[in-house]
Amino acid sequence: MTAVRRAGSIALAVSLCWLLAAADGAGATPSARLRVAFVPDRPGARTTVELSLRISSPTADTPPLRAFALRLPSGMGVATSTLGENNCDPAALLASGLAGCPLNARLGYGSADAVVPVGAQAISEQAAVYPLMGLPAENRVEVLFYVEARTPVFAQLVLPAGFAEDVPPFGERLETAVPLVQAWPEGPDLSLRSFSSTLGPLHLVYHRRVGGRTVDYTPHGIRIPSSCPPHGYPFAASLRFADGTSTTSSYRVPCQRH
Amino acid sequence: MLVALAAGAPATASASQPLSIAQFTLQTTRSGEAPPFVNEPYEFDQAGGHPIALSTTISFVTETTAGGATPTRDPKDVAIDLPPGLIADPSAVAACAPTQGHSCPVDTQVGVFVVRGPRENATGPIVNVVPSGEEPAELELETRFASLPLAGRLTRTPGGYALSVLAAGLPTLGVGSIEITLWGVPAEHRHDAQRGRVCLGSASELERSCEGGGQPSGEEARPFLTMPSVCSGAGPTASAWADSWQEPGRYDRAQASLAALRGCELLPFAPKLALRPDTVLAETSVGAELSLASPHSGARIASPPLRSVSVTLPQGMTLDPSIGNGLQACAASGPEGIDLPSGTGADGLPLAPDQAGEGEVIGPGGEPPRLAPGNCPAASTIGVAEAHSPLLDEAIHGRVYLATPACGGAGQAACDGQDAADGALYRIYVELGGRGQARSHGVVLKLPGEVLANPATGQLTVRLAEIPQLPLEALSISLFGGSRSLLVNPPTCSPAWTSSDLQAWGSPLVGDAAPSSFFEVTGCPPQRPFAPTLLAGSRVADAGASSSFGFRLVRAPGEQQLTQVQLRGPFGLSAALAGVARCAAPLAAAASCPASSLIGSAAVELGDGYQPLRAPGSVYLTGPYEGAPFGLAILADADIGPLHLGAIAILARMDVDPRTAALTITSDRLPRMLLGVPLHLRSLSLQIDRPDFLLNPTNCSAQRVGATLLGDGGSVATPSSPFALAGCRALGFAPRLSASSSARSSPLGGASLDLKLAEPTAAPDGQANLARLRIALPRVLATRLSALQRSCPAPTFTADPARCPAASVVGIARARTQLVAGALSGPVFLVAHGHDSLPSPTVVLQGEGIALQLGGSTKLQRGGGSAVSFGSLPDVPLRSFELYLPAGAHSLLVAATNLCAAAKGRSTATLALASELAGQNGIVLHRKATIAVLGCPAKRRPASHR
Repeated sequence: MTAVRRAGSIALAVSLCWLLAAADGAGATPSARLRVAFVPDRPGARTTVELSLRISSPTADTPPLRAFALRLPSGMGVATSTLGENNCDPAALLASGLAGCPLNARLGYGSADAVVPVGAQAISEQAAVYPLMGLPAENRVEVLFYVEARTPVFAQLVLPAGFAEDVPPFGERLETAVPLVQAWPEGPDLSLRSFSSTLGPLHLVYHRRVGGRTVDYTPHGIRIPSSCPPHGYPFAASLRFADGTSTTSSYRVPCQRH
Repeated sequence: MLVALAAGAPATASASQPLSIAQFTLQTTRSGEAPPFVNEPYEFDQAGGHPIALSTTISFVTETTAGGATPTRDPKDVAIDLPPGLIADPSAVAACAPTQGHSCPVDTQVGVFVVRGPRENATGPIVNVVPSGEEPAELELETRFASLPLAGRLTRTPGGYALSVLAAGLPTLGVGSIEITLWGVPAEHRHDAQRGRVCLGSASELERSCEGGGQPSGEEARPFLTMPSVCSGAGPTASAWADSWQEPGRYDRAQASLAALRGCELLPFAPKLALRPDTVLAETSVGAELSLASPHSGARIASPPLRSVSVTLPQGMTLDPSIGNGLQACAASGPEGIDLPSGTGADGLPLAPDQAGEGEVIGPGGEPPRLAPGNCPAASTIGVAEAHSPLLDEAIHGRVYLATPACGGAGQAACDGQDAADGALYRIYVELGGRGQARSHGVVLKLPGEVLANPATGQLTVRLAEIPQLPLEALSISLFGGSRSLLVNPPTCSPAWTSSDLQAWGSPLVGDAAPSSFFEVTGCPPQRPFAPTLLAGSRVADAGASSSFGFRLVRAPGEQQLTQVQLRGPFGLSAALAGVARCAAPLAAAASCPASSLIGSAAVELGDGYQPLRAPGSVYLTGPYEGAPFGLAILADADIGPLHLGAIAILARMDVDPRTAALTITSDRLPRMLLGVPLHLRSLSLQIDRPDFLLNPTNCSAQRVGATLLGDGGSVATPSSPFALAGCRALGFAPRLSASSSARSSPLGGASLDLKLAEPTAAPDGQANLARLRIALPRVLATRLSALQRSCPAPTFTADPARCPAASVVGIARARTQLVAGALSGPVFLVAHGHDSLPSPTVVLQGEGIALQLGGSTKLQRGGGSAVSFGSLPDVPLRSFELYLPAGAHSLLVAATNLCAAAKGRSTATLALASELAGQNGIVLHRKATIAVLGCPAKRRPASHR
């Protein structure tokens, strides 16, 4: 299966303008903190991007996250890598778990932390996150974040995401929809507290058949632009919550001088 | 004695011909105005009127002998049964005292007689004398030298009660005929010529032999004779009887009739009615006197006697079932019977004067039969009666008896509402005379009556039919009050009207009368109280023991009537339904439940009287009833004394609380009326005592057995009774817990869990029931979010678990208990209870109509893993309980890791399972059990090298 690697050329800025809107600063609005790192961190190198997003709320109840967009610096994108040689069907993912998708569809690893408020208590659930190359889509690269929690509650979640063209100083943004997960009928919704994931070959092993044999190999990572902007590589995250509020967070990966 | 006639007139009876009546006449007459003052026929047909005179003649068949024409036999006894309704009132004239001998004053004369012998005839006065025996009246035929008594008595003829005149022991004078003339109004001057006139001589010389006469009476002119009041049909008929000295008891009989009567429409009829209760307090046992007054005397035409009476008592004045205590019924005949006379013999023929029929007795000296008092048992007396007649100078006293019903007895169909409505069930006898003073007059009247009870309202109508054509000017019936009260006053304070339909002899030409009467019912409180009490408890007070259980509800008199009852058994009282047949609904409705469905006894007490009537009964288990899995048929035999009213059927539903298994018995609307008798339920007692049917709770907590009672005034009472058992600590509590899971498990394929509880193998009896169960699942058995998301919302589950989505069923459960024959089994639902708690498994166990819900709760433990608790379990004995949560794509549990990791080469690995089990008796067990993981792959052994 060949992955679609075309960057979307359709300007989505208008339709997704909410992602750009800043929070109104209301006291109950959650805040977010974005952290990004490159492994390796060297201009022009193929790297693994480590993303970390942590959400905090001034109140005990954090509204469920419904969407977030990760904005990447100009010149960085999955299209610059060989990641995601195969595609993953979300249905197969839910039916069979990670085993339902080809190994070569994986884009990285991660983890997430979610909370389900039950009365005065909260059930904290830690989950593994697996970014995967989704099914081919028109005009953009589809990514699936497969989230799997095992204990105390076993849960599977697929967050569909897609790359879209952004405006400078950003090149692309990864728009991710987070489904509203009601824990049980007339029960509370699941709230995401933190989300981290890598996008890159770190710890990934792909397979291919060579001469009738299966050979392991490591895909190429995302290329870091050779030219580092004055204050580092800009990243930003925009988050929208179920209660209608939104927030943003930005981070610059410092330029490494060699 | 007529000794004068005997001179020269020896008895010359024929040896071959019996005594025969040649002619018997009856006619209204008047005397000629000149000597010999022969009584000549004249037409008088006014019903209820007073004729100038009434003459009757009896002539015997004669044969010619040497002494002349003489009867073929010598007449001995001659009796004349006057037509029913023909009244001869001895009180209308003065009576001659016995000491006055044969020369009674002329003002005692009521008529004249003529006796014709073979050679001589005799005429003379008929006088009214003071009765010397036990007859109500006595006349005498006076001659110059002697007198012949004529006994007037009340007798029963085929045509009804009638006056009879008897001349007994006639002298053997060869009397060929006797003519008796009675005057209508003896004191009238028209009879003066014949008053005191006595003649004796041959037919040709008779007139010349006469002495006396021409004397006025000093008495007030009062009617002595009154004609019957019936205008329909033929004229009034009289019968004459005669036997002979030669053949005593061989009676010849002849009949004669007056002309048909007319003018009934002129008869005055204005009876009065009064009903006087001995208390006017509402809904109180009451005695009542029903009085009817119908003046008889009239100057020209007398009022007709009452023929039938129909008196409808006030609405709400009903029968009190408490009368049934010790009450007996009077049979129609027999040693304890009223013995109603019929006037006919067993062959249906009229009775001769010496024949005693039903209700008659011959005196010890061989006196002619007279009406005899009945033999009703004293315990059948429900009141007294009294009548006044112008014929007697004293009141006639009597009694009112409850009569044996015409239904419900041996060989009879059971009584039903129609029997109550048409008077076949409630019947009475009114007996007047026969005892006390009345007996001295020889007056015995027996009136059968009916009491018609409206099956729906209980309103009563008393009917007396075919009252004798006798001038009863007043008739009162007093039904007992006080402790022997038959009636209850109306419950509402308002005028209580008694209405009537009174029919006279002479109807329909004489119009019916409908007098009425009322009294004010008082003493109604603004709101009748309603505070019944409840007593309940087990006969054996040991926890867990097999015991009977009893309820007793008691309502005080004057309180609102019970309309519906709900009884709630204590928590933990269990019924072993296995092996008990269910009475089918049609049989329960027909009060014919089989003994195999019998589970206890019942008793209802009825009546607001001093001593309520206890009606014993039985309690039967029925099948599903009114939406409940079981029902009860409480059937009590409603025998109000000798009245078999059938069964009081109280049908009830028996619910089993799905959460506590507590039994609740809810009756239908209680029957308030049975065959026209308001039941006035005073108490209801149930004793569920089928052996080994009920098991006491195994908890000893202080409880209250409650009831919710509805009163007919709209009030609700909730009495309760304390309930507590002892000996809980003596009960054991050692259930066995085991669990297993399949090795074929995975995060996506899920994991199974099979949890089993069983009673201990040793000493399974004497164990406390499980009250609480808590198990802590190992962390490796996680809960599946998608299963939680498919939970059934609690409101949906509460409304009807069947409406829950199928995907909310996460397992099955099965329980075995001695309560039902089969297993209880059913699904395990995952039920969501909103934001504040995790969805929890809820077990629905069903079987034999019972549905139990065992609600659990789920909590996540620190360090992962979930704990499932089933608290507040029903206090029921379980032999075993199994809860199975299967694996699968939609299972509740998943295996977070390989469950066989700890197998270490064995085919079975174990997972830790912490548990807490609490008994209903308070014992708590903390067990560290294990979950056996079945089917783990055995570790391969290294191949052996030889």
